Formats: sequence, structure tokens, C-alpha cells
Amino acid sequence: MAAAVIYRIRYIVCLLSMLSLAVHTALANEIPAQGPFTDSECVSCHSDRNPELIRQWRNGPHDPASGVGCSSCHGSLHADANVKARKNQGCTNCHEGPASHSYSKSKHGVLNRIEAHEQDWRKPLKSGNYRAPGSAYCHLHDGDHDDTMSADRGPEVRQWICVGCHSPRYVREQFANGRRQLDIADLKLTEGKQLIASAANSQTKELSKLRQSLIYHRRNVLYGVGHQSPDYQWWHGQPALDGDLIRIRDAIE
Amino acid sequence: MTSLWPIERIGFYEGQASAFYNVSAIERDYFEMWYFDNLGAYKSAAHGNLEGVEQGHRKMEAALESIGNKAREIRDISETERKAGIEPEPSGLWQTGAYTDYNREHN
Repeated sequence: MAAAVIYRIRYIVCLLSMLSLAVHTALANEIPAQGPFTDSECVSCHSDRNPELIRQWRNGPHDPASGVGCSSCHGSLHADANVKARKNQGCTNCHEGPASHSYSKSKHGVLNRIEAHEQDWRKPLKSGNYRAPGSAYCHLHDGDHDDTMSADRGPEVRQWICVGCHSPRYVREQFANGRRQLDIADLKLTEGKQLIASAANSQTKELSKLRQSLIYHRRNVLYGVGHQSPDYQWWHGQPALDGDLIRIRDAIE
Repeated sequence: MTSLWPIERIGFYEGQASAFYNVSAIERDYFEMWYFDNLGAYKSAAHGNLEGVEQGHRKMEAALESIGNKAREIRDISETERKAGIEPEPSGLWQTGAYTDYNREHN
């Protein structure tokens, strides 16, 4: 009788030990805690778990020198850390002015804004998961912590992101259209700079201001093309460059 | 192929110049006042946006003053040249340039 009791106690202790071990192992593989965490704590842990992600962050536009840390986009808690970073507000808190305004006026931007409450932001930033791309969908595609839209990645990467939702032929046409628009804008920029250089005194305050205006409006064309924003391709871009050329000639005549 | 099957041109027209490109700076100022500031005030009124109406009118008043000052300056220069018997000589300044040359053939 006593032996049977001892056997049962041993059996229960053994079972509890195994259960404890299983729970401990499961917890060890899961998120250790909910936070809050400091940026250095995030980097310390994720350097082991996601070394490629940390490498991308260190080499990207949000590198440590930029002053942007993990918590800038993800917050300091594990809960909804990805959801926070996927939403546009995470980007527009810092990226103001033409960069975000051109996007917000585009069809993608309007759709993204009016349907934000219907979107499941828990989904990864991958093809087919979002009806209209937000900033992070294109620039931090599929967890990329460098800039996926960076010029040095080449047009193929940008086209690949667009083809995730649009037909390849349509994307090719839009890219060709955008390339021509930038070519024309570059001709205007070149003409303006050459006109200023030809002036008797090219260092006047007025001409310096007009030189900056040329660069600013050329960049607007780029934002208009990149964000498919007609107002920036046109009103804030091409005609604004035309106005610069007229005013430069008027100033040096 | 396009001669057999004409395709309607859509999107950006290569080399297309905007309205009021081939004008003087003062005319361009007037265009921007009329188009952007005036339209902004009008659209704001149509949509019941009081702040937009006020902003549009503030910009128009500033543009009107600036255009008036420039117009007086141009008239003064013209009068001085007339009295001195100076005939302004047209230069090629407005007729050449990387974009202007391209635009001549492609607009």
C-alpha cells in the first residue's frame, strides 16, 4: 500500500517536473517580457534573434547616427510594436513637408487614410496584404529596415514592389512616364543653373534663392513621380520650374 | 502602327510647357496670383472655409502690391530709356537653353 502511494507521488512529481520544463522551454522561446525596453535592450536581444534586421537598420537611413532608435517607430513595448511601425503616422511624425504631403495627396494616400480603420495592420508588409500601400509598405517592405525604395537599389526593386499589386505592363508604363518627367525636369534644372552661372554676378541673394527654388521644385517632380501624385508632378513641379526659369531670366537680364 | 491605329495620348506630354511659360516675370506673377491665390480663395468660399478665403485674399493683396511695384519700376526704366534715346536690343537670353531648345522641337 505504502509503496503504491510512494509510486504515485513520484509519478506526480515527475509529471510536474516535465510540465515545468516544457513551460519554461516554451517561455524561453517566446517574448521574455512586454517591456518597456530601452533601444539598447532591443538591439541587444534582436542582434541574436534578427541579426539581418539589425544589420539593415545600422546601414540604412535610420542608422544610430540619425538619432532614430527602435522605440521611435515601434514604441517601447512588445505589444503592437509592428502595428505601430506599419501605420503611416509612425513615419509622418518625423517626415513632414513635401515628402509626406505628396503621398497624402496621391490615390494611394487617400485610400490608405480613408480605409485605415478597416485595414488589418497586424499583417506583414507583403504583396496582397494591403489595398493601398502606406509609407512603410514601400520603403520598409516585408520587414526591410534599410530603405527598399533607395535609388541605389535600382528601378527593378521598385518595380517589383509595384508589380505585387499592379500588372507588369502598367508598372512599366508608369516608370517610363516618370523617367521622362524627370528627364524634362533635369533639362529645366540644367538650363536654370547655366543661366545663373552666366550672370554678371551669380552670387546675389535673389539668384541664390532662385537656385534653391529650382532644386526644391525638381525634388517635387521626383516626389510626384515616386508617390504618383499628380499635383506634385505638375503644379508643384513642372510649371513651378517653368516659373523659376522665367524669374531667373528676369533677374539677370 | 500608330498611323494605322491611332492611340489617344494620355499622361505626361513629352516636353510639354505649362501655361504662362513664354511670358515675362511680371505676367507670371499675375498668372500665379490669378490662378493659385484667387482660385484658393474662391474654392475656400465655395467650401465654406473662412480661413482659406482670408489666406487667399491676403496673398492676393501681397501679390497686387508686388506687381504694382514691379510695374512702376519697369515703366520708370522704360521712361528713362526713352528720354535717353536708348533702344533696348533684344538678346537671345530668352530663346536658348537646355530645356528651351528641347521644348522648341517637342512641345
